Formats: sequence, structure tokens, C-alpha cells
Amino acid sequence: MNLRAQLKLSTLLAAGFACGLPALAQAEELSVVYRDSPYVSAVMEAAKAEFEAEHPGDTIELNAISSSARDYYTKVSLMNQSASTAPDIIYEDGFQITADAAAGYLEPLDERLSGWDEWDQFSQIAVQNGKSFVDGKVYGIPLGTDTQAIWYNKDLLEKAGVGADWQPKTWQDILDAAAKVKENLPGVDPINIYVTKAGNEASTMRGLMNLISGTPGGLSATLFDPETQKWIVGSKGFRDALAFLKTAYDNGYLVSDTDLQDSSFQNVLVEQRVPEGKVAMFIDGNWIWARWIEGGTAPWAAWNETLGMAKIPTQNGQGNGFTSMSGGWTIAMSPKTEDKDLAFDFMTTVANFENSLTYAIRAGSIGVRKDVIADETYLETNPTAGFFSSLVEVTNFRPALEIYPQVSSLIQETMEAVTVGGDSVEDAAGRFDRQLTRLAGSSNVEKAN
Amino acid sequence: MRIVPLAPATLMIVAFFLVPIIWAIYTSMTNLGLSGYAARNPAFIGFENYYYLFTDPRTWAALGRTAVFVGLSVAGQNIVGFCIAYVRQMATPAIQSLASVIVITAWVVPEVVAGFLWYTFLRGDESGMNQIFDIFGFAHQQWLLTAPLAAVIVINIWRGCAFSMLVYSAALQDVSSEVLEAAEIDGAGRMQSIFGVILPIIRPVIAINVVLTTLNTLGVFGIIWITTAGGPGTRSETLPLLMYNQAYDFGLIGYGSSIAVLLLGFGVIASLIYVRLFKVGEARNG
Repeated sequence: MNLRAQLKLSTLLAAGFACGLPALAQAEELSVVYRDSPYVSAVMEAAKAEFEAEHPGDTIELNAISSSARDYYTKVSLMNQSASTAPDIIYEDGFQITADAAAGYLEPLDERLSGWDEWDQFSQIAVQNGKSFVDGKVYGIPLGTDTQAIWYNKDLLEKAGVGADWQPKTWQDILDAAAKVKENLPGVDPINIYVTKAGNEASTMRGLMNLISGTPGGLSATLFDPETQKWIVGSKGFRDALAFLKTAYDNGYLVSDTDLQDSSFQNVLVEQRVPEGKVAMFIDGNWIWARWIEGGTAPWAAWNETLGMAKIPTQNGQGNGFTSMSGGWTIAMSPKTEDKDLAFDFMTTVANFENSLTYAIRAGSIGVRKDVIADETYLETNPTAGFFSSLVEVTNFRPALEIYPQVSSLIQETMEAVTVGGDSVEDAAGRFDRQLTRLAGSSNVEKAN
Repeated sequence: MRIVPLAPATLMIVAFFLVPIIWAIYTSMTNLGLSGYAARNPAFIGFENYYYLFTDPRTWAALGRTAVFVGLSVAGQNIVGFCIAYVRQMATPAIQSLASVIVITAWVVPEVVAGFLWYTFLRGDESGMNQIFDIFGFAHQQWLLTAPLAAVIVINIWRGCAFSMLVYSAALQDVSSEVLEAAEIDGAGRMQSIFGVILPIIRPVIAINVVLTTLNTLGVFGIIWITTAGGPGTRSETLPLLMYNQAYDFGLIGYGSSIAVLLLGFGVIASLIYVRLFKVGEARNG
């Protein structure tokens, strides 16, 4: 090779680098992982279109995972094990945040958020759900929150002799209503409460926590005491709640074993059984009506006239008289993502006014932005907003500590044991106490008073 | 230089077998988690996982169920497999091929698909089985809920008997017709010739097949996971199901690994028996 040829080659190479490098740096791709559903897809696709228009050359790769909530969490945790598979942006359930932050799967956002001019639009109660319990930093921007109640079919309760305008004051009132339905309406399941592993987090939160948060002392006397930062074992409230579930199950007030064991029953209930009038009462979240609206997964025009909502009473009507549980999903970022500013840009696009509004309306959730809650379209399209927003004052958040996902699985197992499994409350609760002690470590556990 | 040809095989065994095993044993002595602080900073905790494993009644219950599941599955697969093979060899060649195709189909269908077929066949009031029961006027059954362990054992026998059938078909061909004819002339009936002549002759094959099916059955996960997921409660939870539950539902990867090591131990014992039987068989044939 002569000198001229060498020169030519090196010039070519240099030119190639000069052209190639900036091009590489410009064309960035962010991968987004979320649990597939019509409303999340709608928001993600809108945000992708908006973001790609504002950042020519950059692309968003949407990975919708169709699976149960439990498998979604396992899959995302496994993806997060290595930088080559970790997604840049994660649609993250608020209750996983503390654990995932401690594992180093999430990037703290406080600094970036303080520079975002829309951050003060977010409700302080809802922001709690995006924070780590350990360091208090924000890891997820909340997209919506929720509260829970007992939905009931007015016609069925009327026919059963309970009355169309129903508000139980104690747990016993719920059992009494269920007994009347059982007696007077054959073929109708009196009440649905999720009580098995198949129900996953819905069992823990909608099933058990709505009960134990209504026992004397609430969650801090039955599950986790935030003052001492210790988990509670041997609590009476916890056992009372299990006994309530066992009574409901043993008397045949719950849906069939087959349904309770079916992980897709949550859809079957809301999209078939309830519209068909086969279930009289069901403890569920505020978002559930979104399935029945035009464009939902199971449109049902008469839902608003047919269904009523009752607050969940405390055990004996003590305290505020009522209780509820809250949670919600957030949008979070992996610390392994290369261009964090760009990733944050996409997150703020997902959580901007337009997309938050779409999310609140289509998911049927309680808005977390002040401008969304005040929006007329939101108030018009969500006839339950008033009732469910009022529950925020009596609501509780889950003790979203690191081991919460494990405690949650343990709770589901314990509920399943006393119902479908046929165990006694004392056996199952004793096993729960032992396993909780093992999970948390004996120094992080205290006996209930 | 004579060991050079062994190098690829050795490398494969080390990379894909030995390293994962050592890794699993090491992990089982840590508190490694799927998420949380212990996912990033797992600590070495010695035999703590094993202490909890052996003091938890749930482990013993799962171990008992695994023993029942493996014992009955292996017995069922071998008996059914032998019967099909025995009846099949007496049929015409056309029927023989047809029988093989039907039985082997059950075996080649992926585990997930087989599990799902059974799930839809058995689950709920409108299941295939209950529709058949309607025709005969039988009461509806929910065996996945009322007898989950028995149900998964039957499913596993259904799926696994093809393997045993193939093994026994081959073995039966080795039983010389002279011996059978001699037995017949001596006045042996069918049962007498099976128990007095055929079974003693193929005894080494039976022994090896029992160990092989045991090894196959110890790790069965997919079929149980899809049909009952170990439930209701924990009534069909075998060790592989318990392992998955602890590792992924509870996020206790370290603890799950200790169950994996326990399972591995059972596998090693079964393998040692297999190797020993194989040697005995070879010595006799040689």
C-alpha cells in the first residue's frame, strides 16, 4: 500500500467516524415496559407519538406484557437483573417501589422532578405512593390512585329484602345481607371477596387489608407499626378478619371454589357475572366502572342505575366508621438507562395533563393532578368520582416495605388456607406469624398488644 | 493426548451442568432476593435456608406429596406402559402403528399444551368431562379442586406412559418366542407366562425404566403448574412447585435454591441407582 492510498484510507475512516458518531448519539431508543391493558396502551402510544414528534430520530420501543400482575412483576424483576435486558422506563405498581428501589432497579427522581414545572400539580397524598419507604425519595411519578368500596346490585338487594339503599355499619351487617341473599335468591352469589393466591394482590389489598384496617388500631396494630418500624405477629384483628372470611366461605356466601381458584376470575366477575346479575355484592376498587363504559372491555349501559356503592365499615363501626385502601401505578426509570434526561422527558410526557386525563378517564382511576381532578370532562365522564374521592380521608396505604411483596404473597396463602384450604384460623395465622418472622427477621417483628 | 477427544464433552458438562450446580449450591447459602436490598447485596448466611427448610412443616408436606406423586406416577406409567406394549404386540401391524401413534401423541405434545388440554377438560361445570358426565347422568365433578393430587397423577401417567410403552415394546421383542411356546406347552396360562416368564426375563429393563421414569417425574412442574398451580391451598404442591413459589412469588431466590439443591440430591440418588443397575445389566449381558 503506497502512501497516497494509506492517506486516502485514513481520510475515509476519519470521515466515517465524523459522520457516524453524531448519528449514533442522536438516534436513541428507549424501551418501555408495561402491563398490557387498553388504557395503559392508549396512554403509552399517545406519549410515544408525542415524544417522537418532539425528538426527531429518537424512538420509543413499547413492550406490552400480557400476563397476570404477579407474573408481570416477576418478569420485570428478572429483566432488571442485567443491563442488557433492563427496560429504560417501567410502568411500576406503587407497592413494589420500595423493594425495587432497594434492589437498585429504580432511579431516584427528586432532583429532576424539582426542575419540572408541572410537579406542583401532583397531589401530595398520591405522591406518597411513588416514594420509597426506606429513604423517602420519589422513584415513581404517580399516574392515578384509587379507593375501594362495596359495590352492590340494587335490584338484587331489594329483592333479597336488604333494601336498595344499603350502607352496612359493621362486618356483621355485611354477613346479614349476604345471608338474606343466600336465602332468598338461589343462583346468586351473595358477595365476592378475593381470598386466594389466584387473586394475587387483589386478595391482599381488597380482600384482607380492607378488613384489618377496620379493626381496632388499624393496620399499625395488625400488620406493620410505622412508629417502631416492626411487623406485627399474633394480632387479634388479623385473626378476626380471617375468621370473617372463613365464616363467609363456610356459609357459602362467596363464589364457587372453581371461580376462586381461577386467576382470570377478576375479568369474569366484572365483565360477565356482575352485568348478568349473578353476584349481589363485591368489594372492589373505584376503577371498575371503566370496563362498562363505551370503549371499555365490556360495555354495559345500565351499570350506573343498577349498581350502588357502600363504604366498607370498620369491624364494629368504631373509629371513623369506615375504611378503605389505596394504591396506584406509577411511571419509573431504570438507573441502567443511558440517557436519563431523555428518559425523564418521556416520563413527563406520559404524566402530562393530556395523558394523565386519558389515564384517569379510561382507567377509571382517581386523578392525581389538580388540573385533572378539576377538569370538566373528567367529572362528567366519571359519575363515581365524588363518592370515591370522599374515601381518601379514611383511606390507608399499604406498608410498602422491601419485603412487602413477600408478605403479600404470604397473606394470600393464609387467606386461601382458611377458606378453600379448610384450615382453622389459628393454624393458618400461626403459620403466618412464623413465616413472617422468618421473612422479616425476628428483630423486625413484635407481638401485638 | 488420549484425553483430547473428551475435552468438548467435559467442557459442556462443566459449563452447562457443573457451574450451574455449584452456583445453585452457593446461592442456597445466601439470602439472595428477586428484589429488595438482598437482590443487590446478597449476604452469605451458611445453612440458615436449610434450617428453615427442614423445620417448616410445609416442606415435609410437599416432600410427602412429591413421594406420592412420584411413586404412583412411576408405578402407573410402568404398569400402563407395559400393558399397552403387551397388548399391542399381539395386534396386527396396522393396529400396532395406530396404537403407537395415539399413545406417542400424548407424549410429544408439549407439556404446557397437554396441561392446558387437561385443564379445560376438567375445569368447571362446562368442562368436557362434565359434558360427557351429563350424557350418562353422572353428577358433576371438580377433580382439580376436590382431588387435585390424584388428578395431576392421572394426567402425568397419561402423558408419561408412552415412554414406558416404547421401552417395554423393545424389551418384549427380545423375549424369544421359543421360550414362550415352551411355557405354553408346559401348560402356562397367559398370566402365568407374564409373571413367570416375561417379567423375570425383562427384569433389568424394568429396573432401569423405573429409575428413568422416577428421574423424569421428580422434576415435573409444567403440568401441575397449569392445572392446579399447587392448589387449592397447597394440596397439590410438590417440591418443584414449592421451589417456584418461594423463588418467584416470595422473591426468595436463595431459599428457592436450597429446595433446588434438595431436589438435586434426590435426582443424584436416583441416578446412582440407575448407573448401578446399568452396570449389573451390562455385566449380565456381557
